[in-house]
Amino acid sequence: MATASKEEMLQWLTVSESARTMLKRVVERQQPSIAALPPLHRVALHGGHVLEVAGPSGSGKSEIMLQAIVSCILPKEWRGHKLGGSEKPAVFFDLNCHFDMMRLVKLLHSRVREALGQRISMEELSGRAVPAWSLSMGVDCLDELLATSLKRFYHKRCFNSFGFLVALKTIRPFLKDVEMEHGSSPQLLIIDSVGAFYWLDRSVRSAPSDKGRKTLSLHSVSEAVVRELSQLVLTFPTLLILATKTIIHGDTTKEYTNQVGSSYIDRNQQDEMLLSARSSVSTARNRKQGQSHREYMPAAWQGFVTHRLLVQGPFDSGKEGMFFTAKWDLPPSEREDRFIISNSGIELASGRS
Amino acid sequence: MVLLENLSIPSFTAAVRAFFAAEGIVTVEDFLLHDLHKFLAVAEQSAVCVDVKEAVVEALSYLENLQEKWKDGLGLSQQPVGYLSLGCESIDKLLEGGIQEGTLTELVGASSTGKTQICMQAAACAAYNQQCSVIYVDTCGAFSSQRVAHMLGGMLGSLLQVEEQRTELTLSLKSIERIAVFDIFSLLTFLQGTYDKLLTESENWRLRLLIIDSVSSVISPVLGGNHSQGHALMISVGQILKKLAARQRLAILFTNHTVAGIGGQPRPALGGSWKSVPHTRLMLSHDSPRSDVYRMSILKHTGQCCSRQTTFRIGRAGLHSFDTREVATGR
Repeated sequence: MATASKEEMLQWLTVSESARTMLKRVVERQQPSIAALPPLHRVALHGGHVLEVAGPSGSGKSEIMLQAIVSCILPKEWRGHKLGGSEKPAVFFDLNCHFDMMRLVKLLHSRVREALGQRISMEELSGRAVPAWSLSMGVDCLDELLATSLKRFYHKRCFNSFGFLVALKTIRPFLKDVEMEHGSSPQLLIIDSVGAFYWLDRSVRSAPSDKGRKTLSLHSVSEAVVRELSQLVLTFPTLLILATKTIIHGDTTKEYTNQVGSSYIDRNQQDEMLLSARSSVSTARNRKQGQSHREYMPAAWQGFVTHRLLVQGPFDSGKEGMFFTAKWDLPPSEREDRFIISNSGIELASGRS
Repeated sequence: MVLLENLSIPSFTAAVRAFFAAEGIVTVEDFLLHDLHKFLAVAEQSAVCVDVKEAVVEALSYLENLQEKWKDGLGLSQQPVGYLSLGCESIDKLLEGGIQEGTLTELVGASSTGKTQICMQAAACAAYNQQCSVIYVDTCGAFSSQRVAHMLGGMLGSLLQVEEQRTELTLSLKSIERIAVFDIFSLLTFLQGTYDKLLTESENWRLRLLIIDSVSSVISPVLGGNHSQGHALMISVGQILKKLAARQRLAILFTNHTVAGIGGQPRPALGGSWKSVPHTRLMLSHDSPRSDVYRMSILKHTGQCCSRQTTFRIGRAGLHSFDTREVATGR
């Protein structure tokens, strides 16, 4: 017993790595992973972080994800032009089945053309039902660049939580293959959206089971997902996890009017009531224009998230068109950025602090 | 709940099964919720270690084969994207081609704003122009085959052409299948049955459009009260529709009614949880009860960012484009 502890102590005292290698390892890991594009430009994100972009339906969350994918898969430079990408693979879990491939290809095109200094006309961008390659008219070898970039993007659809868990448990060999094929480990893992199976998992109840078996519930499913993701991050330390979450707003100002064929029950309010009946964590109220939202994801997921961005929109500003707002919730900030979504991506409008 | 032993994995012997049960894993769900690292660490110390590891690997690969595979961006971008025209030029122009295959489109509007008319026109147009099968799930009894026949005739233009193409028109009418469903459980059963049928016989059955009129009339009765089962049923309907659209490349069109919203503006029924189900949401409105001009605006679209609108007219022979400038010049 004494000799074992003496060996342990000696082992503990010996040098495992020099300060130089340690700094190199830590600094490499802390390199900002994705290009500082609005609205993610205020906080530097790197591998090991988990960013949750939360907002109501139609507020631009998926657009932010697409922008992050484009920055990830494009190369740093091409034929002398700076593209500013990371040239690393990205992995996308489509739990909502709302992924629009055409939109991603259009964004890639506009990013590349912008970097090449070419103006993109509206006609080219609004073309649809046309094979993607015909959009690259006039520039040789653009096809090749787009093909190599798109090969770094991987997409999978899951239709329930258990399919998602199966995908997470079997993803390690797949990511190793991806790493070998592209020479670098994946940088982005995107989940769109985490709350997709909330109601389905909540209604699942396991029968009173024999001892030893886990009860099937929303919390156990969430814990399993968080556990798999954390183990994945340990194996791939440069992996940055981005997740979108749909918020259901409750309106604090309501007006009921008589309308033909309308019902008086406010479904949004009912959704809120049912969500709050089960949420065990403190409710986060974000009062903006009289609206509040509640956290409905279980505590396991909330503890896993390291950064949170709240987006809202679209708002109509009259002459300037539709705009969206983004505000950092974790780390908390008072600044609110305004951005617009155009055909060529997200652009920052005049922000107010 | 599927028992692990029913997966028919060769290395799942009685001893392995007993070991799994001792650790609390009896069903597939237990297996997926369990921490496999800890489980394998415990298995290291037991006698059936090798068999257990093999069973775990085989179970995972079996479950993985049931799911969709990983697809890379290049393959996805080269898949052709089809659009189904709705039979009216102004609407097709607004949607940049029509309803996209593989997506869910929702028509929202108060009573008598043209939702059922658009559904019937879409069915007629798809059956005749694309020569495909259409399934029309009717929950309110508003489907009228006579009206669809008029619309089919209206697409041709003249009575002479209708006589000439009588056989084609009859075939088109035959390929529209109407199903009457009055509650959410029959709807779920029907959709699941359609999905299973498509898996086995998709070559012969050229189904490309599924219309549900209206989805809110079967879902609204179950929402309500203090239980969440209604929401779970609603999201289950959404999930099976998404599965049908995504895996079988169907275009799905369904209708929803409106409820009172902020400031008296109508908004779609079924609440916030349903908002994330359709890919595209179109709001219909009627200018005045006596005119035959209707307005359609985009509430949500994955490819477009601003809310645009268009007008159309419903006549005896179906939907027509309507240009607001015609009224101004007094034509």
